[in-house]
Amino acid sequence: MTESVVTEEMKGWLNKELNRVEFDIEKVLLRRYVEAIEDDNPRWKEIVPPNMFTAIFAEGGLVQYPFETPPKLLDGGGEWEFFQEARLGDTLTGVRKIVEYKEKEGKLGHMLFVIRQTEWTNQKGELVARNLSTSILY
Amino acid sequence: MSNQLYFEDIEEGTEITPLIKHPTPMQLVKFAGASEDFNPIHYDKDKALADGLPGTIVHGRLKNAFLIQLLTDWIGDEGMLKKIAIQHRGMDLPEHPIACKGTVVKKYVQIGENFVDCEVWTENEKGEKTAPATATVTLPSR
Repeated sequence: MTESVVTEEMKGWLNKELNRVEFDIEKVLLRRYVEAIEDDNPRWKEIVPPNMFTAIFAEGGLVQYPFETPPKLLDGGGEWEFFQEARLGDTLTGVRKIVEYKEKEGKLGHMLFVIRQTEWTNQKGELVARNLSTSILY
Repeated sequence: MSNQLYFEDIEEGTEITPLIKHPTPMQLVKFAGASEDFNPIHYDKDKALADGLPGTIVHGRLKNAFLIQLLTDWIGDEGMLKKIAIQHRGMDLPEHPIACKGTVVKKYVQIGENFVDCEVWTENEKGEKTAPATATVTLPSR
């Protein structure tokens, strides 16, 4: 078993706000997105398709950490809960924090799993969606 | 809507109408642009190989999108996706079809809403489940 790569600094970031992001739900954003995923459902001209939260709004391979991490990153998946629809014209704010670290030996060697939570609210402050995502760093 | 799915239409074991997606390098580039995910493992084969991967790979988040499209196509305008948990177990490569499939695991009424728990997954040409998921949706009654 390789030594843990979770440092005191990393532990200090648990449950603290890591960053926040804001998305204005505009026509072009919706159109580019549905074209990229090739989903021509006409509903998505007005309503935010729920997979936008799992695709664009999730960080996937983009996560930036405020501390040193193993250099390579894979998106391990996640879970999403949806509380209400988001629509064209809404502004969505996502607040992210790290909620857990796990470590495991696997085919890619020593793997660090970082579990992050994002809560999405609209411009009225109403909870729209909640996400827990796992990054695999190795 | 004539093609709306209703709670009464399904049972435990009902198959979700499959959705077959054909990700191409072009789609991965479009998705990279739309999602601002410019991780080179999705378009630079040399970088992907150097990272120990079999070649450029399909974004896990694009597969998430495919799985949710499977569900939103199936539940129709009046259905709602409530919850989904997706695991990325295997990698998918562009130019290989990804079959999105699923079945109904359980149906129940709770606080006046019609809930349906489903298992859904992406499947490669070898029949391997590369992204298994569990999802909960609600459906209208007739």
